[in-house]
Amino acid sequence: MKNEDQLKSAAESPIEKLMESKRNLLLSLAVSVAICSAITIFAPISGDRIFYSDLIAVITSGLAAALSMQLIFRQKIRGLFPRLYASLGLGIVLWFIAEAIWTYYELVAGVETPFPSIADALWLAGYVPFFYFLFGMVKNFIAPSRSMLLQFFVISSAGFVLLANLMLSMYQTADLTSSEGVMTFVVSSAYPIADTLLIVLASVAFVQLRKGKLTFTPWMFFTISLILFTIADVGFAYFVLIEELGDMIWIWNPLYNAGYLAIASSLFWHREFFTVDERKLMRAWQEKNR
Amino acid sequence: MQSTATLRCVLDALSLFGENTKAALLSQLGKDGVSFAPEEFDIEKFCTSVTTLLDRWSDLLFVKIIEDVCRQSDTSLEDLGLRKGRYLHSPELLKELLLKIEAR
Repeated sequence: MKNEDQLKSAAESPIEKLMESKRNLLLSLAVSVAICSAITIFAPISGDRIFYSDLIAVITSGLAAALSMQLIFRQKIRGLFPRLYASLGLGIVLWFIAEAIWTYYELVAGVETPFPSIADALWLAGYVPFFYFLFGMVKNFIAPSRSMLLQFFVISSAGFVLLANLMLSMYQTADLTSSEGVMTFVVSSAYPIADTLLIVLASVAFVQLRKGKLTFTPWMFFTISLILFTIADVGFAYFVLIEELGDMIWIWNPLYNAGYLAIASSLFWHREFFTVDERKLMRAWQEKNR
Repeated sequence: MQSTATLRCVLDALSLFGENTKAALLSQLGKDGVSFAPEEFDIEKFCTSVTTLLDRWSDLLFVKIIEDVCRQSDTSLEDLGLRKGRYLHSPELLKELLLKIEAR
C-alpha cells in the first residue's frame, strides 16, 4: 500500500503538484478568512468586538509583514527584482505599524482614534512603495506588447470612470463647511484614489501573468487583496463621512483582514516557489558530504 | 553556437530575478524536466517550460538571452534578417536565431 502511494506520488507531475499547492493555499485562505470574520462578527457574544477586531487586524497585517521580511532576508536587495519585493515589504510594514498605532489608540490609550491620525499618514505613505513595486514590475518585467497596452487602456479607463463617480458621490456626501470636514474629505478620498492606481497596475500584471503556473497564484491573491482593500476603503470613507454610520465602521474590518491574509498568501507562494532557504540548502549539502 | 555558450546566456538571464530566485527557478525548471547539464541542455524544452511556469515574466529572459547570444556570436538580428516587425521577447525568435547561427 505504501509503495503504491509512493509510486503515485512519483508519477504526479510537477504541474499537478503546483495545482495541488494552489488548492491547499486557497482552502487555507478561505478557512482563515472565515474564522477571522466569524470572530469579528460574533465577538459581542464572548466579549468586546473592538478588542478582537483590532487584535486580528494586527495579527493578519503582522503575518504579511513577517513574510515580507523573510522574503527580503532571503532575496536580499541586490538587483531590481529583489529591490521591488523589498519595496513591497516596506509598504506592508508601514501598514502593519499603522494597524498597531490604530490598536494602541483604541485598546491601550482607550481613546477614540482621531481621523485623520498618524496611522492614516502611515497607511497613505505605504501606498508609495506599493506603487513603486507594481509600477516597477509592469515596466521592467513585462515586455510591452499590443495586448498589454490595450488591457492597460481598458482597465485604467474603467477604473477612472468608477473613481470619478465615487469621488462625485463622496463630494456630495461630505460636509465641506468646516476645515475639519474638508480634511476628512481629502484624507478619505485619498485612499480610493491610491487604491485605483494600485488596482490598475496589479490587474494588468495579473492579466499578463495569469497563464503562468507559478505566476498565476501570487498575482491572483495580490489583486484580490487590493480589490478587498478598495471595497473596504470606499465603505470606510462613506461611513466616516456619514456621521450616523460611524459606529458601524467595524463591518469593514473583516475585508481588511481578508486583504492582509490574501497578501500573506501571495507572499507565502512567492517564498515557497521563488526563493530558496540558502542556510537550509547549505546544511543539507554539509550533511550529504560529511 | 555551442550549447554551452547558450546555456551560459540562459543562466545569466535568469540572474535578472536575483541570485536567490534564480536558484529557486532552476529547481522548478529542473522538476519540470529541464536539465542544465551542458551536454543535456535543450533550449526548446527550456523555452516551453519557462513560458509555462512564468508566462510573460519569461519575456525579459528571452530579450536578454537574444541580446547575449547576438553579442557572443558577434552578430545582430538585422544581419541575420530576423528583426523586421517582431517582438524581441519571442521564444520563436530565439530558436530561429540559434538555428541561423548554427547554420553559419
